[in-house]
Amino acid sequence: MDELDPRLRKHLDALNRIPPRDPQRAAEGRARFLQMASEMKPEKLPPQAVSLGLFWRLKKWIQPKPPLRKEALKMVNILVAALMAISVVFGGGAAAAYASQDALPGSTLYPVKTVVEKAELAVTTSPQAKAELHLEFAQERAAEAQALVAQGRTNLVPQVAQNMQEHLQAAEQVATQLARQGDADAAARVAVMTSVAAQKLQEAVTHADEHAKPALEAALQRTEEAQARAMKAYAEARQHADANARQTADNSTPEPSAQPGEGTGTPEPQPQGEIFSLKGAVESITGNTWVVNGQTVTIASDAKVKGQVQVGDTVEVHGYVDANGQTIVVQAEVVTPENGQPGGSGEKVTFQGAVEAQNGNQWVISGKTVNITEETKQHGQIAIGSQVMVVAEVQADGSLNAKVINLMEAGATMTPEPTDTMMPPNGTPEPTDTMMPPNGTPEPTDTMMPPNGTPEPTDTVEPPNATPEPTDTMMPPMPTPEPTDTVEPPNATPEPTDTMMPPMPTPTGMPGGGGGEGGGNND
Amino acid sequence: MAANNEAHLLAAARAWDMDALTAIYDTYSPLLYRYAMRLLGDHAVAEECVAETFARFLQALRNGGGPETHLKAYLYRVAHNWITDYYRRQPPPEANVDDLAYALSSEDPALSSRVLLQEEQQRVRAALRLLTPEQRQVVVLRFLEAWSLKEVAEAMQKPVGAVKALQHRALAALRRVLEEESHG
Repeated sequence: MDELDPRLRKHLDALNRIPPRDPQRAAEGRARFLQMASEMKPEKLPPQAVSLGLFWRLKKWIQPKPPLRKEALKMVNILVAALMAISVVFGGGAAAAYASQDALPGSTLYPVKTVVEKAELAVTTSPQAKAELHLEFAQERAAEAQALVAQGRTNLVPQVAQNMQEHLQAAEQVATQLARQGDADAAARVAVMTSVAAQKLQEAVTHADEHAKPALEAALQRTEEAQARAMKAYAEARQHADANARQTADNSTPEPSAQPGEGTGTPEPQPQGEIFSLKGAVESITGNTWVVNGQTVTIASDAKVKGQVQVGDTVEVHGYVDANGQTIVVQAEVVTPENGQPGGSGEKVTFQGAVEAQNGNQWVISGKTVNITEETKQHGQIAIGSQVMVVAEVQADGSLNAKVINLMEAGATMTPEPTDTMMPPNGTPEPTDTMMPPNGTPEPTDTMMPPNGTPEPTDTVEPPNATPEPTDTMMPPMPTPEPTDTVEPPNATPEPTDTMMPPMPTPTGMPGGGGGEGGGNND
Repeated sequence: MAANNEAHLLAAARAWDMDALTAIYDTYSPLLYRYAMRLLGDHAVAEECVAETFARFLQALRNGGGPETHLKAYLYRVAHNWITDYYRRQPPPEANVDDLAYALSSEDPALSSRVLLQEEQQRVRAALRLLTPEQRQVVVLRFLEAWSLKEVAEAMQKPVGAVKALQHRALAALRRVLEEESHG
């Protein structure tokens, strides 16, 4: 294999004998590098919030992926024109446009960012694509709010919050339309993306000081209302889809109603209709199938994946369970693991079920052992047999420390299969997925419906019997003991739509979509 | 550096984490210096190559480009391109006949061996310069840096088969040049 004959080897070996590097020069070179790096430092944003915003998107377009066709080309042209115009105005050329990706309100480059966004919207014609763009921008606004809060520039927060609401409203109009058409997957994507926007905003609220908090909380409430309506639209879309499927049943609908337990052999109840958020280490990547924190998920062919995801990265994925019981990821991003927290710990699960045992500080709820600690907040008279909702933190060893245990009275609507849905697929410690009780939803099917999923969400929607003292435990301002680390703060929201991760009958062969999209480059 | 580690480092570098950028510099600067020095044989120029490589890396990162993975391969590629450009700009150094003659006639074995080594290095460098840039890259990475074929393929962004072919042609050319020279 090594075709190097000894004579040639000897010649080349001469080059291996090089004098040592001059330490003085080496030190100077290093100093120059560090100086250059600090001079080039982009205008500061918290890395997570920004990292790959606008330009990542542009890049994606400029390397068109198969499903994007004419529209993409047109878009690129217009964007190029927009960017050229911008570079004329700002004189900085591509650098200015690039830098605008990180721009925050108040910065010179922020207008560039909004202009580019408008250009993107203007050239997007498909309603679905447009809705998703609006939701991306809403998420971007939430990230900006986080950044502004982090920088203490809270006076600009209301403006950002306002713009976020405009994008959400625009997206919502489309979602309603999609629901009527029975496009469940499209409606699911809208629901997921809205939920991510809410999560990001929640994060901003968590860190906000008293100046920023009122505006952010108001925005969060409206976002959560939008989220609830998106979930409702999704539920309606599924109903329409089901009706359509029944009508055309003989018309060879691909898979009318799923064969759930194919992988595990256990015909688990369908958790269809749930959306989930999951954070953890990527354990494997096989085409468009990832295993994240023990959960197998399928990356939608047009999923928005930020960054080059590799095995070992810590990612956040957001998605839904489709009609076939597959967990479809709509959005994913690489996140930097929190300091000192090996991936997988410091995460939260939210689930509900019956209290099966109370042995001192260890309770068994819904088949899981949870530790009751000093920090555990209990609400209501909880006894064996009580239906409760648990928010627990996953410890490094996989055990669960309860943060909140809420009694849910017998009358409260429960998910059809509270216990089963919580079981992790292969006995791995449960992931971050959260699941919220569907109390207050009219539709029985929608395990996910958040409490105020009704058309006009007001306080009255909160079913009086849902929790003994709901405010205390569930309201956003609640001083969560350890809110900072996860981007998904499921337990702090009034009605986080996220559901726990479904049992996932080992998502089988993954017949779906267009091959290994979404950065699935395996190493 | 493990791929994971490298991916994390890169992600942090993209977020302009100075610690990550420093770690990258400290990890690769000595390797790149050695690489450049082997080919260039001049301290100052090798330092310049290292500085330029990292400057390009920073600019790429700043512009949203740069490597997504395979940082090491990327940096060697940049350095290689810089050296190729440098070769184009600079004529190959002439062998210093006087030095050689002096060294050969010297009674001091250390001096003569040092000068002879320099002479040999000069010759090998000149031979490498005669290769195409890609051939040179393969030879240097494979046989001086001792990279595997796969690693070289990553650095060159080529299939392994193409690297093998390049390697084959490169060694044949090198053999021809160096043998001819020694007989000429």
